[in-house]
Amino acid sequence: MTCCNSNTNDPASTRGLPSGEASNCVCVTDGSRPAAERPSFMPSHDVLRGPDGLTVIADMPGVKRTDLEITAEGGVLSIVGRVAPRGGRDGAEPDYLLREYGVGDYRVAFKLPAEVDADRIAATLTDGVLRVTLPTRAELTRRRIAVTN
Amino acid sequence: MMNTTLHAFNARAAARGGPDATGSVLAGHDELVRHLGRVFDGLWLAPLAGPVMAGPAGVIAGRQPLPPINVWEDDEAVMVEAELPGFKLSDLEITWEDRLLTIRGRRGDEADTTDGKGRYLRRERMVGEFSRSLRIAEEIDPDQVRATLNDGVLTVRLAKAPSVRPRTIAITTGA
Repeated sequence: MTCCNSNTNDPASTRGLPSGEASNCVCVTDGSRPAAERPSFMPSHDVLRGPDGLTVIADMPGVKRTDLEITAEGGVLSIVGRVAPRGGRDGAEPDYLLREYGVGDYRVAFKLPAEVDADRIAATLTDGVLRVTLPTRAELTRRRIAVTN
Repeated sequence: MMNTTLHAFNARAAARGGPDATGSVLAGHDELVRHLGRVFDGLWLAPLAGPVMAGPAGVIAGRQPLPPINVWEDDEAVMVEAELPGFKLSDLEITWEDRLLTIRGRRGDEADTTDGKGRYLRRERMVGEFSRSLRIAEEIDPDQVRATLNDGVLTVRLAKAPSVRPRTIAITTGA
């Protein structure tokens, strides 16, 4: 997992979801800042292309369904998962003997390819794994341009 | 810092071929422990110089990163937490033996379960088997080791034996 707000502050940066064969992936935050000083992280994720569209699978351990916010607006898919503090008493940070990961919110945003049908985007969250299906519409994938003289 | 170290370790493990999935996990484990001792010259153990832990080590099949682990303690228990998204209880095996806590697990390939027809455009998530072991130097009550799995976060609570818990000493006035 990569911490994404430590040095990327460009509000315009989003991950490009591959359109067609090209994979124009750029690293990333969704630009909005976390409310508190807690760190936020970009979840490890896979992107799959199937016959009916794209699927994004993201590891977001510790996120409950009610703490997940997914929006598709202006051609950008934004995913925010809030994680409750855990570890010490009363939410205080414990004295770590070994610390291999930080606990914080998850944030990632993707630029949606034009062929994705935003109205049919669906998401499920199971055991800390988010799965977002992005169906594509054939008529949006290929367009015949008439040539006039 | 720890992450950097972990990745360096994994890269080296991968470069060496790593243990295969069907090979002896424990043998690979011991070998890696020796390897770590040489390569990092105790660097790995530095954050663990306290009384509780002797050092983490682990192996994984398929050249994937190990799931990360956090460890902390309070007066009553040592807590071990691991991020294991997508793992079900049946995918995990947790053992406590001879002061060694071992967490083993396996996570399948998403493409297998999706529809078999999808192909990866980007792939970051861990797939395959892993095994991590932590030696806990603190005296633990073996009947009071509890594990819970919620939303992809595994928490193992190892209660300290009553003999090592802090206690308040009552002060009485001398005659």
